Amino acid sequence: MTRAYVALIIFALVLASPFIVSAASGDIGDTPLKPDFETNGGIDPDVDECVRDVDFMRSDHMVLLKEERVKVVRHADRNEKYEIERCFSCHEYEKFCKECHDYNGVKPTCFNETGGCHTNEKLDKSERPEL
Amino acid sequence: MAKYYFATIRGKSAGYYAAVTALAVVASFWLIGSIVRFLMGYYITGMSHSVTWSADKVIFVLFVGLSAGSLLISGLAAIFGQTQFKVLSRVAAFNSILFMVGALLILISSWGRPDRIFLPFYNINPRSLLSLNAFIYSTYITVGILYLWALIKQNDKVARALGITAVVTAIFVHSGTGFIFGIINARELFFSPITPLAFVVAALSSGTALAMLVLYFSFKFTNRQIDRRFFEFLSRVMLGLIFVVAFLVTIEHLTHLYVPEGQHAESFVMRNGGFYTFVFWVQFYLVGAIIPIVILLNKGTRNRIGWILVASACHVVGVLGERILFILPGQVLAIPLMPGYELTSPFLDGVNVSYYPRLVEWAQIIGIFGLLALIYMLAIRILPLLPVQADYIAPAAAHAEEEATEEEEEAAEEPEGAGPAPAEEEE
Amino acid sequence: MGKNEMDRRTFLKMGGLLATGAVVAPGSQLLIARAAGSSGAEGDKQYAMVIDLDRCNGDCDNECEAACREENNVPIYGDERYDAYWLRMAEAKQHLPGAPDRRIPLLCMHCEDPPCVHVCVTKASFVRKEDGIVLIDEHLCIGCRYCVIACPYRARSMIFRKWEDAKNEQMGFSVNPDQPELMIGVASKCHFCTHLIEKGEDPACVQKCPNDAFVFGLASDPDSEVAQMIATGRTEVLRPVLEVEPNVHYMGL
Repeated sequence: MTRAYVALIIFALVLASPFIVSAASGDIGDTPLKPDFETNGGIDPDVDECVRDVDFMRSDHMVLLKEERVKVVRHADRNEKYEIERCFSCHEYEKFCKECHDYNGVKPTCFNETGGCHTNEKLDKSERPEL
Repeated sequence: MAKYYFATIRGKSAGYYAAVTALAVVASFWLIGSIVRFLMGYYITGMSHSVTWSADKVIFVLFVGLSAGSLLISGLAAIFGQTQFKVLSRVAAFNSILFMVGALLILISSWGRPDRIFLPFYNINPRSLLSLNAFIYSTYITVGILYLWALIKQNDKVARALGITAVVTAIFVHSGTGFIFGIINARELFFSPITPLAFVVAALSSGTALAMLVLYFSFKFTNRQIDRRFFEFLSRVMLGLIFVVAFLVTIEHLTHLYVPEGQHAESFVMRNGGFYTFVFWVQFYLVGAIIPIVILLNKGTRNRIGWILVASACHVVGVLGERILFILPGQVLAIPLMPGYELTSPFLDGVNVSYYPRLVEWAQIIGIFGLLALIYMLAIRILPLLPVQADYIAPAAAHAEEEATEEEEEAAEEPEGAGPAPAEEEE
Repeated sequence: MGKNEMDRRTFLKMGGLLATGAVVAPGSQLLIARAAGSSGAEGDKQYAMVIDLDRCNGDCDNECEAACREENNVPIYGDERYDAYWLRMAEAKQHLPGAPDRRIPLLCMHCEDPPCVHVCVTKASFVRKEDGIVLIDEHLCIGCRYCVIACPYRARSMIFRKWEDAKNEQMGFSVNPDQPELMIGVASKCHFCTHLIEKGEDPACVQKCPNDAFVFGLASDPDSEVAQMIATGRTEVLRPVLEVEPNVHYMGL
């Protein structure tokens, strides 16, 4: 029976290892705060609405982006309305996207540093694509 | 049916602990090598843009093959009615799973992006054999584990059904692996319909050979008894398979000689390929085929266990040579992009590139052997794989006994670990 | 023993069926594709390139190679063994005595029936049906290197090292900030400068060649220069016997 207990303890330790590791490395204090949607940092004040309504964009913007990616890459069918680069004509990544992505532990692989195709040089307001 | 007693080894001696520690150190080479390779990139290996399937792929196909031979021994009882092999079917089934896991580990650690290991399971390309193999390999391992479980639980009916399923899946696995290489029509040394067949047969023969070595040393170091007739029987099986392997490899290479581009390629393998010529003539034909055949045909040596083991070891080395020939020369040889012209370019077109494994590849290869040996050592201590005594009971004798003991068998649970646990040593 | 014989027969039958299945499953896919004409573009659009080897006479500094590297950030590390090339200029020496040496730019042939796409494990390589370009989705590539083995033209380069280790700038190649840095560990190859085609421009090698040896355009449009050059029947493809239907044609091979 003691063997079973030892095995159980080892199993529990393995399960808990991510928590133990992050506690040991001191990451626990740095948990990002829940983002406050109402402050709306980093939005262009001149523009009233996004390509879809706010609730949809909040929950499903990544679906739009991924669908657009498949269309562009696999079917040569570009729709500038849903381009990722167009997001940055209104939103600033640092102020608008980063906080929530950090909170949810999301790392978009769209950009150059993370192995994606989009370079950050382009991502400013001056190159806003026309619809 | 005869009754066998299985027992774990006790595993408390200093020798056992020393061996496990040493193997753990060796196994860590594989882990370290794989991590370093993943982080640094391919350039620390000996690969080039021509030779992109390198030494680790050789080990991969070798292991897939060894897995087959082990399963054959296990399947002899389930399919071919050689019930005397029942006593060995547990350890053989375990080894076949072990080698397949080893093959997959070395395969995945050779990928450029092992972090994307799950992608093949939900991005399936039905035209690609390698894509289908992702499912075939996982089916094989699953069936193998269920089969081993049924064997250990002594559920004979389930074990028999699963054994047949496992052997059938194995045919899938091994011909599938052979086809990976056989369908490459861009390189004349690869493209051949015989490749899958040669692959399966070489898999069976080398697997049988290695299984004999593993069994002999497992029983010897645990001070357990194994009947010499097992080795005599298996060596006969192996002898026949060696003939078929040599025949298939020979006709494969001879067929290439009848195509102009193939002549060029075969002259590289047979005459002026340096290392590959040596592998072809010496390692495969001399060590891998002729020496074992002579040993197993000679009346003075064919029934001596020592000589049978020498023949087995030689054949495993020879099949390693066949695997090298299977993978490397086809890539080393320059592709004839423009027949009639000699190409030179900064991308090494028209050049027979040289390839040799570098430190990280050696670490991975030696480490994976250590890892598998380590798992085996731990497994025979945890699971009742090895019989206390492996008696050779011919099928006819077993059949007569079967009806007599059937009821008794139902009632009596196997006394696991209760048998006379012998002194244990390393494998 | 009768029971066992039965099983042996069943076993052999099952084994035979399954082994046949293993061959037939992927093979039948190829047959279906063959029957449908080709697995490449479905008639609407097909880009192609014609390279006039008589114009590619060596009066240049291999601008096509450099242009490709600078446009697409193809990494170079200074080691022949693993430098990546999407387009390379090969020198072809004839065996006949006195025959002139030739130069031939080699790049991805954008086959209509590409072996690299057939073997790809995760569908990371694909033929874009809409314009017949063969592309790699580098987010899906697992780095198994099967495509590199299967390509009859050696058109694919694995990325052997990190972009930070590349010596493009030290070796005199500028870096294009608009194009991504290639991901380590995955396959890469020429994509006919898809991003330039989309803007209506020609690929970089076509633009930069001082001798105008490259002609690029829509092979599916009978009025285009490329289609007319192919229609003359004077163009050839490399390794035609493999029947992969390449879309890079050579004139004067």
